[in-house]
Amino acid sequence: MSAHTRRGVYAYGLVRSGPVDLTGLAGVADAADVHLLTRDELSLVVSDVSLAALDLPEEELSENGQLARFAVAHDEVVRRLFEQTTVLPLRLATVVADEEAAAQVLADSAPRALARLAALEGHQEWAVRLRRRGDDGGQPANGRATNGSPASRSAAHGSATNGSATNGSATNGSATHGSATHGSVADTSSVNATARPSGRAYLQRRRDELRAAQEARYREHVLLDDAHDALAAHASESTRRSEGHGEVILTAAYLVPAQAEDAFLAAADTQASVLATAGVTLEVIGPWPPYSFAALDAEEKTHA
Amino acid sequence: MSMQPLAGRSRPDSLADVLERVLDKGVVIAGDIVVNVLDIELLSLKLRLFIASAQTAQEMGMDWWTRDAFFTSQNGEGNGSARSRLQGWRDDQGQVEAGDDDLRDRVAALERALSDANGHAEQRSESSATRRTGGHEGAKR
Repeated sequence: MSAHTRRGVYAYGLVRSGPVDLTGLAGVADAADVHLLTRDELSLVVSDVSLAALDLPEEELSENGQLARFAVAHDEVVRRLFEQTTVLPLRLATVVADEEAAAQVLADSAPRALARLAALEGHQEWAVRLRRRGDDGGQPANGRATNGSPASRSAAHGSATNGSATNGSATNGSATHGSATHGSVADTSSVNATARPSGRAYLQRRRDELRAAQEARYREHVLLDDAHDALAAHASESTRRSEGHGEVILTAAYLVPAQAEDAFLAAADTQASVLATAGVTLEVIGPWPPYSFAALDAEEKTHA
Repeated sequence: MSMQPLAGRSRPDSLADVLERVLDKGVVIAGDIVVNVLDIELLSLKLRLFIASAQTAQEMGMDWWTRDAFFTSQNGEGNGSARSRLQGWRDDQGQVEAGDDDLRDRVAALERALSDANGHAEQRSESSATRRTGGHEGAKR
């Protein structure tokens, strides 16, 4: 069989066996029909695809590319299942050779998958993203702390401008020594009046700046922890990922039971206003099928 | 394939969010039973670069890898301090330059003050000129 004619079974998700409406779903690539493969209590939602159609060129990673359409089609099937039942989404591009292999997947994963489906029942995933506001995305704390230095720098430039203006008048009236002297003396005293940059003062200022930056980072840390804890209190499970020091500082996902959803969203609103005072915006994204909680083995999930 | 389902949700989520989920999350079926049709790891990595470049291209500069957990064993904290050290170093540079300006202004002012004055001025302005060439400015130019 040539590569162009080889076909495989594309799998979207795992559900408990039962009636599911899959009509009208396009499926990924050239998929013909999205259907259930059932083995006892567990079913795999699959469609038949040609492997060649899934072989995306790597450059396809863009908003309108093939991969994007592929992802949306996968998500569409998962969402359809999610609307009707509890679903364990599979990662994109899970393909097995044939239906026999698919049956093997069901047999191998049944105990873990059924246990996970039971845990996910009646839950939705909500994602929260915290962004640092402001132009200096990297270090707002630092930026605030060093605000003093650009100011003092511009003050220095200011006196330099004054100096050159005095210089100018001195040059203009080079014959009248008196006025030139007067100007320079005035300038000197004004320089003396502003902070004389001594090494000690500089080091002191640096130390203060660094300490302020460190304290600001610490405060932000506490703030993020508090926000996460407040949200996780309404969730059965949660995951969080610190995003380093870009604009996005935290990405978290919460597995929220249906009855706690209002409380969760209210808590998100509360946290949004708390964080706003610290220059952090809170974005709520969802609801999602439980993508972030679909690992079969208990991986590093924080149980709230 | 239509993008319609994306619009119907209660809150908007971007394609990048969808991609991140389907590439990065979900049950992974492992083993020989799976046909490898795509290098998901590679695509996932590329996606992060794509998102990063789209969202924060300006402030990221060339150092995107310092924040990607894939490339660093450290957490964000470590990267942050390295970053703030770099920022601190840049600030220092700025302050040294500012300090230079201050010194230059003051030397110029003193020289002007002294140039009209009496005989002692000769010596002092010479010494300040020596300091000037030997000091920051000499090193800078």
